[in-house]
This record gives sequence, C-alpha cells and structure tokens, in this order.
Amino acid sequence: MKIFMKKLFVFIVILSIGITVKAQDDTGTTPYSGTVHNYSVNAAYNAAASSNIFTWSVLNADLSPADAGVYAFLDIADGTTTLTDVTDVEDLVGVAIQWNTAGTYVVQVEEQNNHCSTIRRINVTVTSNAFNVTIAANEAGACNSDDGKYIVDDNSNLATTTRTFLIKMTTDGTDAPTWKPEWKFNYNVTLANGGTSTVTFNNGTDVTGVVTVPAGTLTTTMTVEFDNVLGADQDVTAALTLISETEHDTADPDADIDNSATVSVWALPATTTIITD
Amino acid sequence: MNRKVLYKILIAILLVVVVPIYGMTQDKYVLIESVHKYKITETTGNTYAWIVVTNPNLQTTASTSTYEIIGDADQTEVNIKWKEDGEYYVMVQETNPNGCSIWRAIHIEVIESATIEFKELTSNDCSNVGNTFETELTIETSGIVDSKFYPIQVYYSIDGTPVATPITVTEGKSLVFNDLAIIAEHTDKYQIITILSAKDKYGGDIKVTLTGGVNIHTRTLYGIPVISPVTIK
Repeated sequence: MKIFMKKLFVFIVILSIGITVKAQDDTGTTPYSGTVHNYSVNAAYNAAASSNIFTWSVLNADLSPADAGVYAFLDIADGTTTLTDVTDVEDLVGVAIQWNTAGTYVVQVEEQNNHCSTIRRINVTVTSNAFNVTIAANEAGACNSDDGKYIVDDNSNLATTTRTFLIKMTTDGTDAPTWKPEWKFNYNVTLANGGTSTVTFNNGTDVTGVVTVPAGTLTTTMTVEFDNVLGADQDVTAALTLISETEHDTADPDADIDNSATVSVWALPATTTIITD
Repeated sequence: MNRKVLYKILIAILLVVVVPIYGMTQDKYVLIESVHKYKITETTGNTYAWIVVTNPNLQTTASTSTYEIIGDADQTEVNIKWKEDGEYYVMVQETNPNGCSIWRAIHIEVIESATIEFKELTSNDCSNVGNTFETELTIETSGIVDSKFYPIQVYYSIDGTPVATPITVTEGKSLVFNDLAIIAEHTDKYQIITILSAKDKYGGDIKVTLTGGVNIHTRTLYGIPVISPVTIK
C-alpha cells in the first residue's frame, strides 16, 4: 500500500508539473492577451435540437459581466470578422474570442430549446503576452569606410560601408525567455542620401520579403551594405514591419516604437580635385 | 571606303582621343626650381593639410630635400618649389568637423630636360647697324605645354660680362636685344653673346646646352670704310 501511495504521489507530482508547464502555453483556457481562440459546444451532442438558441458571454471570475473592452467576439469561421450579435442566436454553437486584457474570466454559453436552457462555463486565465521584437544599431555614428583614404579624381575607388543591426525577440521581457516561438518580420531599409543597399541576415543570407527566424532563436543580425558617397550624410534606417510570432500569430505589441533604428554615417568631405597653375 | 574619308576618320580619332590625353598628361611636367600653386575649393569649417609623397596609396613621404612648401601647408592652396627631378604626388587631406577626411592627389613629374641654345651660332653686321639685334633660339620644352612654359627669362653675357636684366622670350623664340650700345668702328670686331641661364614661366631651370658651344653666338661687326673728306678740285 505504501509503495502504491508513493507511486501515486510521484504520478501526481509529474502530472502537476505537466499541467503547470502546459498552463504557460497559449491555449484557449490560458491565452495570451492579443490572441484569438475558438470556443464551441458540440452541436452533434444535441443534434435533435438543431434549432436551439445560443447566447455567449464573457464574465468576470465572480460571474459579473466582463468589461466590453477586454475581449471581442469574432466569427469562428475566419477568426477576424466581428460578431455583433451573440445573444439568442440560433445554432451559434461556437465563437472565436480575442482576448485583449490579462485577467481571469469565464466564458459562458447558454443553450435554450423551446422550453428550457442549460448553461456551460469554462474558466479562462488571460496572461500578458510579452512577445516583443526590437531592433537596435550595433554601431555608433561614424564616418564611412573611406575615411582617411586617398580618393582618385573620378571617385572610382570609393568603397562600400556596412552597418549592422541586432534584431531581438523577447516573450517575457528577459533575454532568456522560456517560450521561444518561430517569429517573422518584414523590413525596410532607407538611406538618408538615397541610393540602394544590400541587406543580408546572419550568415550572409540575402532575404527579400518576410524574414523567418526559427523557433528557439532569439536574435538575428541584419547587415546593410551600401555605396559610399562624398559630401552627404548617409544615415541608415532599418524599420521592421509585419512582426509576429507564428505559433499563435501574435503581432508585436508596440509596433513602431522600438521597431526602427537609425545609425548615423557621417559625410566625408567632398574635396574637389587639385588644380594647378 | 574612300581613302580620303578614311584619313578624315583617322584624324578625327586623333583629335578626339589623342589630343585630350596629351593635354592632360602635359600638366604633370614641371621644371626643377619652378614654383607652382596647387589648390582645392574651400569648404567653410573644414581643415586642410598638404604633403608631397612618392606613392599616393602608401603615402610614402618624399624627401624634404626634393621640394619646399612655401608658406602654410594648412590652407586650401599651397605653393611648392620643386628641387629635384622625379615623380611625385601632391596630396591634400580635407577633414570636416565630424573628423571624417579624404585625400586627393595630383601627379607631378619634375624634369630637367628642357633646353635652350642658339639656332645660329654666328652672324654678321656692319658696326653701324645700331643697338638692336635679334636671333632665334632653339628651345625644347620636353613635354611642357607652351602656355605653361612661356614667357621665359634668358640671362646672358656680352663679351664675358653678365647682364643683370634678363631678356623675355615668348613662343616666337626670338632673343631680341634693344640696347647693345654698338659703336661704329673702322675695323672688324667680334661681339660674343653667351646664354648663361634661363627660367621658365614659373622659375624652373631651363638647361643651357653647352655641347658644341651652342650657347654662344658670335657676331662679326664689320668695320665701316675709312673715307677721306670730300675735296673739291
């Protein structure tokens, strides 16, 4: 009996740990804010009453109605279309809910036939989604690579300059998060004085369009190479767009705040050719 | 193709391609002892530094015995006196307030091969010809374009006595004397004109050719006849 109790205890501990870890994932019962999850009842269970009426609601933990802003009902068919009516809707066996604010809530559905009704509830704990992507220049402002160099009269020996940017993802505000989903972004690089640049990532990979960083990788380095010019600053601005993690398609929460970085590339003198008498 | 047309095309190619190259390359030649100005356009707030090197990429500094920067070397223009033949590069570094800088360079070849001599070594005149005399010079500019060479200053001596004031010679290459103070005499005399030295437009040394005495021109001034007074018989 003792052995059985010990095994049972170990089983419970392992199970508890599993549940705890699982609870950190983004699921319908433990979603991250900003995510969308589907909630439904099995219509087939009550197939005989196919014309029943459903009313969905989101309640606080004390079963009082939750504030309207903390969630939004969406069409379960596409997960994006707002559902304006979730009360007394025939055959509305499922909805999608976008969770906007961290907190403890209850999703409730009431199914009503011609005479009676049944209420089902599921507890939902919404946690803050700290998924965030930042970009920062690795170098401080400086002259371009031709600083101090002899430039021939037709400027044909002007070289190129490279500047790098560190792009970093966090999911819990630390540099060592436990959740490391695949993430992606698009980018736009502009030069203050115009011209074109070549953009590569990490190992020199030339990526156009969406850059996808594999799960488990928290950083990637963007390298921008461009032609040197004389007489004009050539500041480089790298901006990230369409940032999201692909596991739950969570968008970057503070887009445009830390998703752009500029490094100053100071002008070289536009020295004229030497003339003589 | 008609031969005349072909010649015309060839001449056109020469004019379009060869002449500009020739014109460009000639600018690099300067004479020893010449002083030339080198300048760039000023940008307010920037600083400048001039140096003379033998290799612009390595910035191998030339020996200071080969040139002299006259005045300040930290302005937008500089005067350099060339003192030894060879190939050089005048370089200037321009630095802006951010501390960014670049170098520019101009290729210079200092030569000593421009020469001067008399075309004719002798001449004859009556001693009552007057104080003026003109003779042609043979001048080899060694690649220096005429506009950067003339007028030159020719220093000379008369009968071994140096004359302080040089004679200015232009592209016409005529050495013209205006005040030789010839006195008419009855016996033949010789006047020895010797080229001592010559300087180009920028003070560069033109080498006086000595071989064969081509720097000496001998004038024979014939005596005028001795005629008795006219008498009436």
